[in-house]
Amino acid sequence: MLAKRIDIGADTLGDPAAAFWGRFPARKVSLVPTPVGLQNSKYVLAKWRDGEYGHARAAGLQCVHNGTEIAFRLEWECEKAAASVIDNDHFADAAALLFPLSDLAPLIMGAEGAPVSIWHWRADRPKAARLNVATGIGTSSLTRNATTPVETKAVHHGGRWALVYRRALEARLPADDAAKFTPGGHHRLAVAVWSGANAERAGLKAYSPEWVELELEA
Amino acid sequence: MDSKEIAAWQVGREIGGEIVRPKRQLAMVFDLNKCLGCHTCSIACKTQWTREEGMEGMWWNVVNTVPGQGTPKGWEAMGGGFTPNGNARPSRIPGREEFGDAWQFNQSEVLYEGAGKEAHLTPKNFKGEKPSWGPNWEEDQGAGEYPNSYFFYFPRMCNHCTHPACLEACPRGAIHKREQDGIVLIDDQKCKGYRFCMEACPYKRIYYNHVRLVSQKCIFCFPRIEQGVAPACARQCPGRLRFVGYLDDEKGPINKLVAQWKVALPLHEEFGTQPNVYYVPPLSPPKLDADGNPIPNEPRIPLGYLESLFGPRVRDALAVVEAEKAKRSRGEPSELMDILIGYKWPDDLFPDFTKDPATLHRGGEGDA
Repeated sequence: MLAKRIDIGADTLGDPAAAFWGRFPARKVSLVPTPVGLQNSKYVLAKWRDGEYGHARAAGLQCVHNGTEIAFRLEWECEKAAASVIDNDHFADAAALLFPLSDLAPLIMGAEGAPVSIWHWRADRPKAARLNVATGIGTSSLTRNATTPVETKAVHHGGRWALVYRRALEARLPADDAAKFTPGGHHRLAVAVWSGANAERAGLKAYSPEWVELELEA
Repeated sequence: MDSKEIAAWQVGREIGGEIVRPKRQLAMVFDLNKCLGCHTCSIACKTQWTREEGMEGMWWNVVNTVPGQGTPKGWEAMGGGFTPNGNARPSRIPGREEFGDAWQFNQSEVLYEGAGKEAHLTPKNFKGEKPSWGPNWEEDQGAGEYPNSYFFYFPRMCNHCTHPACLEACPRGAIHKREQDGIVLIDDQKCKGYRFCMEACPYKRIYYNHVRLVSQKCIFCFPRIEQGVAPACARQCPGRLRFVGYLDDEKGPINKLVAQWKVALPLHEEFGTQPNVYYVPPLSPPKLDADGNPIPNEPRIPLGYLESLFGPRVRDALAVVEAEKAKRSRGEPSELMDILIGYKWPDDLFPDFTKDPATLHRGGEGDA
C-alpha cells in the first residue's frame, strides 16, 4: 500500500475521526486467530484448544505522512468496547502494529538476532502506545530507550474501533529499537487485534499472517 | 537431567515428562491443633509486604474458618492445577468480590461532617455496593448442629509448589522457582498482567494489582530467608504453629513431621501441583449423643471432611498424633509431641531461620 504524503498538521493527522481519512481507501488486512499450537503455555493450550478467540476477522489499514510525522489508522469491528479493567477478569480491547527491525525478522514476534518493534495500544491506557521489542514468542519487553513516542487516539463508534498511531517520521537517537521510516522507502508491518470482552490477551489474538508492504510517497 | 544444565526458569517445569526439581525445597508445616484464629500471621504479612496502593485487598496469607467457602469464595471448586494424567485443568480468574477486596467506609461523613448521630459506618465494595463477601466472611461459622457443631481455623498461603501450575501457565516465563530453595516468585518486571497464573493456580492464592497491573503473591519472605530470618507469618505466630525449614533436612522439624512421622499432609494433593505447605490435621473431641454422652471413636470434626482436604492418609496421621499424645499423657517420652509443642522458640520451630530481624543491619539513607 502507498502512504500518501499530505500537507496536514499533526493534530489532524492524529485524529481517527478527521475527514481527510475519507480521501484514502483503507487496505483490508485479513486477520486469523494465532494458531493454538503457538500458545506459549500449557494452560492456555488446555483452556483455549477448543475455545474461540481472535474474534476480529479483518482490519482496515490506512497510512499517510506529512514529511515529518507518520500516521497509521486502523479500523476494526468490535461490537461492544471493553475500555476499562475494573474487576480481575476484565481485559481491555487492544491493537498492535509490528515492524521488523531486521530484514530477517519473522512476522510472529521476531526471533533472536532479528527483533521486531511493537506498538501496543490498549483501550484502558488510550493516549500512547507501549513500545515493545520482541525476539520471539513470549519475549516482548518495553523498549528501554523509547526516545520516539507513539501517540494514539481512538474512538469507538457504531460497533467499530478507529485508532490512529502517530509518530515522528524520523526516530530520535538512540533508535536501535525503533521502526524507521523514510519518504520514498519501502517498509513492512503486521497487525494484531485483541477482543477484551473475550478475555483475549497475550497470544490469544487475531493477527495478520502476511506482511503488509508499505511504500512511503517521497 | 544434569542440574547444571537447568536454567532458573525451568525449575518447577515439566520437561520431557519429568518435573525439574530444585536443589532444595523450603516448606512450612502448620499444626492446625494450635491455630487460634488470631490472624497475626495475616497482619504480619500485610504490614510487611502489601501496604502499597493497589494492594489494599491483598491477603497473601489468609486464615479461614472451615468448613466454609474460603478466600476467594468457593476456591476449591474453581479448577486449575493438573489432571491425574498431568494435563492443565482449566479454571477461571476469581473476581474482586470473591476475594473480598478492600472495602471503603464513609468515615468523613460520620466522623467529620456532623452526621455522626444519624449516619453509621457502612462498607462499600469496589463497585460502590454493599459487600456480599469478604476475606474472612465466615469467621467462626463452621458446620454441624449443636452440640456437635464444629469448625477449625485454616491458614492458607502460596504453596510454593514443586510443579507450580502458575509457572507453567505464564506465557512470558515471568514466574520462576528458585533452584536453591524452591521459592516461587513472580518477576513483576516481566509480568504483563495477563493473569493466566491466577487462573491456573488451584489454590487461588494469586492477586491482581489494579494499580501496578501485575499479578502478586506470597514471596515466602525470601529477603528475610536470605538473612536467616523466618518469614513474618511464622515468626509472628503467637500459637507457634508454623514450622519452617528444608524438606530434606532429616534433623529438622519439617522432614520429621512430613517424612518421618507422616503427620503433616499437603492440602488437596489431587490438584497435582505438589504443594510445599503441609498441615497437621486437627484432632477433635468425640461427638455427643442425644443425652450428652460422648460417642467413642466419632470425632466432632467428621473424618470425611478432613479426607476431602488432606486425602485418605489423614486417618493414619490423626491416629499417630492421638497415640503419641496418649503416650505423653501417660508420662512417656514422645519425640512427636516434643516437636509439635515446640518448647524452644524459635529454634524448635525454624532452626535455620532464628535470627531476630531487629538485629539486622538495614541499608538506608545515610548508609555508605
